[in-house]
Amino acid sequence: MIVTAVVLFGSFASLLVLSAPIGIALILASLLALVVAGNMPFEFAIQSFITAIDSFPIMAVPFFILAGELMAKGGLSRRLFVLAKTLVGNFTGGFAMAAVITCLFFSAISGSGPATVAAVGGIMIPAMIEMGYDRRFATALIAAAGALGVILPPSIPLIVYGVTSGVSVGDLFIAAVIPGLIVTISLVIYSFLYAKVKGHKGSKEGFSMKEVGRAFWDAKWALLVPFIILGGIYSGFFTPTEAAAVAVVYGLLAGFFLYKELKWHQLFAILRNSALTTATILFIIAAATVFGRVMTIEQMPGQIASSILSISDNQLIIILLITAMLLVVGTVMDTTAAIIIFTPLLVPVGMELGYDPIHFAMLVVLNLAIGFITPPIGVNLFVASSLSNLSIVTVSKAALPFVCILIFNLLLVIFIPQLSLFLLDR
Amino acid sequence: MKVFQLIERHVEEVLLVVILSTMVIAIFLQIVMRFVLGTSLGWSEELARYSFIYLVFIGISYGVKQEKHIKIDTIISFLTEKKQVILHLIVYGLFLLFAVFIIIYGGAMSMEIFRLGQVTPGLGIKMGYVYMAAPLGMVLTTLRISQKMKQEFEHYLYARPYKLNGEKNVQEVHNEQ
Amino acid sequence: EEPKMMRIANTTPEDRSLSQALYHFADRLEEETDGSIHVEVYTNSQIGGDRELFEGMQFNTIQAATMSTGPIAQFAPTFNVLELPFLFENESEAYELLDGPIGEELLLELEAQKVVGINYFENGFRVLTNNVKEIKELEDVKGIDLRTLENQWHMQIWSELGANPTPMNYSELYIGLEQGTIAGQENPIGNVVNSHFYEVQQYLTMTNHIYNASPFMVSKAFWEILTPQERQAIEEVADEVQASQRLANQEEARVSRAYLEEKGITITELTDKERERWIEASNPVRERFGNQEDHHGWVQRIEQALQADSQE
Ligand code: NA
Ligand code: NA
Repeated sequence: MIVTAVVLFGSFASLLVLSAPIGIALILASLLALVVAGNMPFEFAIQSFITAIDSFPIMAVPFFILAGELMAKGGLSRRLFVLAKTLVGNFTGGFAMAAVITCLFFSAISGSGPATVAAVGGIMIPAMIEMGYDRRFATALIAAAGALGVILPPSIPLIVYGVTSGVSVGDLFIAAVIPGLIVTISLVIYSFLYAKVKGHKGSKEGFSMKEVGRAFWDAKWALLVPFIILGGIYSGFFTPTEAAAVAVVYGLLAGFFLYKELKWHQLFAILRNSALTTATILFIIAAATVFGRVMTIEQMPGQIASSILSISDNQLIIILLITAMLLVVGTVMDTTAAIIIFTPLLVPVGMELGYDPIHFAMLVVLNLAIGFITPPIGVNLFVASSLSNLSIVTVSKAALPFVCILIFNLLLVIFIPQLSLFLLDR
Repeated sequence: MKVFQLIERHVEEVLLVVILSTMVIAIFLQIVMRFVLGTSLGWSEELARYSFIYLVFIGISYGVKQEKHIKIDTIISFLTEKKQVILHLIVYGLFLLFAVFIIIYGGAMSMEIFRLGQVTPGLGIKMGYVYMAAPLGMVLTTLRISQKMKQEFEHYLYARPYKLNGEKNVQEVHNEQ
Repeated sequence: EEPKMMRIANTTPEDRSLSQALYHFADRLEEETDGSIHVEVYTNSQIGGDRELFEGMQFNTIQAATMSTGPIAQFAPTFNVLELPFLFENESEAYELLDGPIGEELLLELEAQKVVGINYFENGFRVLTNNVKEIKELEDVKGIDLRTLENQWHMQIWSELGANPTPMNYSELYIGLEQGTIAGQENPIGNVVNSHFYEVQQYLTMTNHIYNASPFMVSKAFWEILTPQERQAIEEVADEVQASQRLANQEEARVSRAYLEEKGITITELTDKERERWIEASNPVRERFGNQEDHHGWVQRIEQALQADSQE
């Protein structure tokens, strides 16, 4: 096991340093580990790679990326931008804070992190850049706020946690509300402070009701987008993933027929670019699935967990070790996969330490959600960087403050059980 | 010859556009049908999911062509240009290794799945067609990598500038001047 | 000598009887073979969904698995015969048939798929839940948006019964039920508890419309490297586990039902007369299925066998 683990992680790291594409680094490291372990045929890797793409919820990502492009070229995004500018453009950090709040709203309907980034980032990242925010800050902020997609209900990881551990999904959804709001508030406060320091005081034009009214009217068709998506899901017309396809079709129709800014000859490039972005991201997600599966069949999670738990029997140290371990796991492993594999190992420990099952669930899921913005495998970073044309290294660096904020939030959730339990009266 | 060039230049683009459109239409149709007929199509989700697999494998090839694959290139930027080119060649070599591996093992695997006759529950097609996405996409990828390696090699020999469209290359041509 | 590695897997949550049975099997087999076979267990879709696990056995990446007959039919279509509605009235009828020559012969169909069928564990009878109204009679099903498997026979059954069958991905089912995209679903009662559907469903009808057997299967490539003693040990241990798993599963169904009642779910039984009406309404599916060339003999034989049993 040790040799296999060294080969797996060692070759992965070396390949990354050689500047191999991340997907290639993951898959070649996995194959090499399989060769060394010698007890699993290669077909396992190929099959895992292909079926990782065969996932319905992840399809929301290409659809939202596409919808974002359509709305940008079709004049919808610009009008929303103008409206937002008249509303919040005068406040210090107004746009950044509005971006976080938009993620909050979208998270209330989507259960996926990268889908949230794709849906909100497509409009808000360019808008923030246009308002003079640093491109890196804008990208990292949306990547971080996208984690709300899986923290606030509904959330696919929370459902998976419920199924894996037996805890009520409904209770988990309720328990996650306060931690989710704390993350939101932290991001809003940070945005405000950042804007203050960087001098994003907003435009000097002053708030004008007339301007707002005009912008509002001009943006009416664009405003229907959130209305259709949110309303459609809540009234049960379609699922979150289906909503992404609806957003595409609406963006297309509005661009062509309502605002008449979208041209047929642009359509090809829009589709092509969205497909390319999707493929580069999915390449990594699929390769990461193989990487995680190789870890699983070589029994690494169990070994890691048990060796970490054997270090100490001090309650505080154990929980901090678990926290640290999950943070590390989150750097390379998909949140949902990590929940399926680590929950059965850790829940008994949590119970022995006297944690409430719901409280323990929050600390695991919030922790693994941070993995969405930690390199090298941070899916939110990939989606966000593709929306802003920044290199992954640049975005990863810019995301560091946000990782710290989320870890701080995580510590709050760990040490103040009431944050998870208050709404449940437990 | 013209036709061949046209195909060479646009094959992935056209396929990607067709596939992504198919996915959107399939899922949208599923919602519409639930409204109109009160019942869903039994195959739309499956069509979208399996199209998605093709999208990714063909997209990998297109990603090579456009040099859009996500990587960490901090270290490489400290190297001299010649060393950078050598490193590029090594990395393309590794990519080629992966592509050829998928063509051989993935190809054999899809043939076996064809032979065993597994049928998808919704569309009722042979599952082998789905698995074929991997080797087919990698055949294209192999061609693209070969083109890139040739360019890198020529660049190494004659310091010939790239004639590419990727952002990074424009940058590098610029550096050369 | 190195022990032979046997990885066994399923897609059921850890605490269900089907998963516990795999751990039980692992312990007993290692015991019986004196460690010449080393067993590792992966439950809860840790290394893939049902389709992947079956393919895994075909390529010998996984050496054994259990899964419902629905996904198996994707590989060996004859297994669709067990997906026909209202085939069995109760568990013992199912055991009688599956453990007899017909069940045995059905398992032989797997050979062509490079899989060796050993015996039948149990997932249980599928029941119907929804959050629109209590379903007491056939008329109540009319117009209910019901999530079904993406399987044409399942869809046809519910069309004939009057529902609007809507395939939906299992991963979005909870959200779909919560937000009302669909109103109901049908699964074994253990899943209603384990996947927490009861949190977003109000009514449960004990329709018992399909009995889900969960065959225990071994990769043929793996089977072929085993000694005769090892094969015998696998068969014996699997039979032993089958017996205890079925009991555990029935107990689990009872406990699940009690649990759901405690959670305030309205649980409804179909009267015998009503059940007859449902059976009649679903007859066209049986006919259509039986008229398909490959299936003709099977439906007849199963019906005859069941009739013979009930006359005893
Ligand atoms: Na959410
Ligand atoms: Na990460």
